Amino acid sequence: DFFDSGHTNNWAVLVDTSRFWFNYRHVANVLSMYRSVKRLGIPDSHIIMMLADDMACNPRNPRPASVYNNANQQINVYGDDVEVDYRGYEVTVENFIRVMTGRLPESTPRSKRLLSDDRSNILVYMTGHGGDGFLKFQDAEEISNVEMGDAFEQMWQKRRYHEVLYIIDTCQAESMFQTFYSPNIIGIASSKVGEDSLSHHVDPAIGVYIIDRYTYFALEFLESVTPDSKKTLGQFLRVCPKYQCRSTVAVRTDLFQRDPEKVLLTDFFGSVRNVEITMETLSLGNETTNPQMSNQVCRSVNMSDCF
Amino acid sequence: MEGPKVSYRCNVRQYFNEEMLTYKEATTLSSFDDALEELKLLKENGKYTFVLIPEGEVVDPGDRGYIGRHRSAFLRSSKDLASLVSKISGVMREIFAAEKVIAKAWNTAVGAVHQQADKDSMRALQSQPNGYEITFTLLNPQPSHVRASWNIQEATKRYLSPLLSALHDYTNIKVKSQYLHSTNIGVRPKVDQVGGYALNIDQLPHIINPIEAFLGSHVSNNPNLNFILYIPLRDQSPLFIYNQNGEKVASNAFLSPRWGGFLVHNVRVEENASLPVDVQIDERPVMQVFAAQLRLLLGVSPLHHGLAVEEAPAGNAVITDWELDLWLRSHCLENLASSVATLNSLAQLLEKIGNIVINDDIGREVERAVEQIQISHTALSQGQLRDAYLSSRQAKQFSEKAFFDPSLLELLYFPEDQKFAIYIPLFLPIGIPVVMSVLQSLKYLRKKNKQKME
Repeated sequence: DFFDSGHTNNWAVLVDTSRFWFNYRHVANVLSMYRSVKRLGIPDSHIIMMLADDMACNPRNPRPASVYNNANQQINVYGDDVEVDYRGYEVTVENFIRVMTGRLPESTPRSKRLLSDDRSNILVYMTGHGGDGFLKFQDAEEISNVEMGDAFEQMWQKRRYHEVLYIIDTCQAESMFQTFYSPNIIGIASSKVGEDSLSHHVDPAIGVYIIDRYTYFALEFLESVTPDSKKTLGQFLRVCPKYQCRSTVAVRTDLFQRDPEKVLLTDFFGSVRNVEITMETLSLGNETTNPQMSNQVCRSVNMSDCF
Repeated sequence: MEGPKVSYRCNVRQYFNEEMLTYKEATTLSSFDDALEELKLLKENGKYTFVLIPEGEVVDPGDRGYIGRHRSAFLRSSKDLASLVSKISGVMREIFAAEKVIAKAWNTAVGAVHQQADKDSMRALQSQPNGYEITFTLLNPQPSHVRASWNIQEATKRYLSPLLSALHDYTNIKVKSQYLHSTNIGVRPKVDQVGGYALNIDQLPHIINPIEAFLGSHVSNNPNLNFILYIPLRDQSPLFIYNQNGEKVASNAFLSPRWGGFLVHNVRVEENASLPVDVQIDERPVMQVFAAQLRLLLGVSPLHHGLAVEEAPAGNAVITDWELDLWLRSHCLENLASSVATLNSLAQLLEKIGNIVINDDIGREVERAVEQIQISHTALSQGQLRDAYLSSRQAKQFSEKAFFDPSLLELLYFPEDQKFAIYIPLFLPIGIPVVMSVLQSLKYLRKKNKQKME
């Protein structure tokens, strides 16, 4: 029935923190997630994508305007229309925290804002180079797990989310969500503390690794999900077992109130709208109750208030 | 959690002569209601009149009683005082003041308990002091078949201006409209038994997403409500929405909470008409659906009270006066609760991150917010609903501004737990020569002392 999941809208924040050609795979990771959430129904207006580099138009890319997840060119994750909200040097820790907490300058356009509310489910996906307790942004700076946890707490305090699915594909990824303390967050990391996350395979045509293992298998799983599918988050948590990932996928569920086995994957990856059938209509006569007065109002105030 | 306290004051009086005259002239309850409202010199939010009418008169509220479009209720007077009093207090507490609704508004905004799925609090947009946007879209996937047009500007003026002017003092609503051609919904309707096409309830959630991207980007940061009038494809008409029991939905419309409404508008095209067919849409039935949805989405929810009492429909006014009061009251409480919560969490944040800098601007915003909260409290306790709402709206604006101030993040690169790491590269290179020279000079002084001693 209507309203059993408790959220009314979905948002996705997808972040690639590393630039340069040899980090092609990180851009491919983020674009894989972007492709999935968009295909499953989250519109561009509700996706904040941060890409530190433009691989599709890189002169070294032998296949311009495309980014593949596989050397056999199975899926072009760049797709036909990609909306990047923060790119290149705009991808900084500061901008990321500003987006999450909403502390943006007033001039920031709507497309660069996370306008979520107390009924928003947010998917946060991050990838890049990390270590124990940090994720590096662009070789210049890093975000620590303490800062990340504080950012979520500020979001919770201001009721900027209903539930968060936090996915991070980086080395020692688990350390990033160990410091979280705000409710309703479920975390998935591609590796445990002390482990490296590995890439999937090299594409000889581009000369570098093309995608990371965890994201590769996550995308493979997501490709089988449709907007009306009944696949659960529990199934997604089991994606990429050790023999595929070579690192151990870590999961943190203690902050999350619901049982992941009963949570639909589309609660985070898709945007299945709640709907309510309209039973009652308002009966309106042909004349307004007081046409003179209403015209006056339209004339006296700014026209845009009427139209 | 404790809800807000509500106190009532009442007085009883005889009718005035003018009121008696209008009463004699009136033929129906609703005309009497309107005439009474005209007489009132002071139209005050939050003050209600109960009119007791003896049995057997022309204008008869019946056993159940009648609630007018303005701020009056009409009851049949009776000797049984106890039941009369309980009726009056019931109407007062459950309809005019709607204690349950305002308590819920308060509790949701305080946010301590995040209730599970709750229709009324999820459907309507949260109180937005800056205002709302409304976009009407005529979605016509086959303009080569039907060339539809509507006079939405005229329709908005005619049917929505009472609502817009009622809310004009309290919030800022902007209305826009657009045509959207050659874009289709994401689902394929099934054939139904009666020669039409059916959209089942489980298909409805997937309709909106594919068109969402084409609905346009918004310049403003205020929440937007979309109302979509959809003309089905030629080979999918007529198209009907079916509910969970497999019955046709009379309105042929649905709403999506905090997003907007969707209405299917079937167009009849003759077999051998030359294409495209020009269609002028009759706005009245369309606006009847959209206005009902708009009420719900703006937070004028049904009350779910158990009282047997007849309510006058809002009709052309779209919102009745007492509904407007209720809207003001619950939004006022929501604003107050959320600005208090915002200031609280700002204070908590400062406690945790001790070296954060609060510049004078933020300090001023906080002071202003507190001041407005106090003004609003006083006004509320005196029953001045309008002033209370306006202050609460400002309080929310100020407190949000303080909380979301970009300067609060300036210390991002200076976190407490990394102070050492920040200082070391700065002071170590300077520190070494300083320490070395201090040691040297100590050594020198000691030597000198020794020499003196000798």
